[in-house]
Amino acid sequence: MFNYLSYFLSALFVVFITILTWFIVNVKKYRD
Amino acid sequence: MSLTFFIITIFLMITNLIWMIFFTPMVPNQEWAQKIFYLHVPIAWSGFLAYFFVMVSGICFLYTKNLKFDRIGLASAEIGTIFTALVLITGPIWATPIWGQPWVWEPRLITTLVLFLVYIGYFILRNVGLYRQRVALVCAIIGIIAFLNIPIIFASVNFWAAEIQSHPQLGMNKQPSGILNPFLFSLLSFTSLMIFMLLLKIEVLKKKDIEDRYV
Repeated sequence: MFNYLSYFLSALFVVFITILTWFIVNVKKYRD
Repeated sequence: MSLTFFIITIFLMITNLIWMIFFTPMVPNQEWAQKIFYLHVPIAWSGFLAYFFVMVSGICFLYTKNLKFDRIGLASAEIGTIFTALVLITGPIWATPIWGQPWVWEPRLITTLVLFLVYIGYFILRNVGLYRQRVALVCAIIGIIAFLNIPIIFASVNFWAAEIQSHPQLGMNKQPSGILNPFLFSLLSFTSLMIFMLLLKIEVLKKKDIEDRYV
């Protein structure tokens, strides 16, 4: 049932972390 | 920045995530790996849309010489490049179990990689130390030329010989509604996210330009 779940979670993790990092950096610049 | 737009975008992304994980059908043979498609394709679409904005703002800059269009172009180029990088990462994650190898040298992958590398060049050029108006002019021209690659990426699946293609040839309109509806919703959410990121980045760049006294 959980075939290839780790691949999906890896993709989701990469997308989430990248966009979150971008937001942290840019919101910080926006507020400064 | 509009708080309402931010809340709508967050709501769309959370709904998208829940729909994608819990309410989309499992495709035989691919199972969870197929769900990467709900991330991969909308991210690619949003990235290409961002590059389209780079081209439009490049044309506007060439006509008006207003640095406002350079800021829009730079913000779009940054977001387009982040999204293209995500496409180039999520693609191989999907391909590893399905094709048995992360990367195949086939037309769509190569043309996407070329687009990404062209934009890496764009950012290197922005930092070589030319004065601001000249950087804006050169980058506007590169942004317009680089966009020509995007129709090639779209056409690459049909353009080159079928035997060297690894990409799925099935059109989206042939997908069942259980897959098509969440896919279209994901497209909407990622487009909304991209536009929100774009507006935020334009504001950040404007602040920097005011500090540097270009505005």
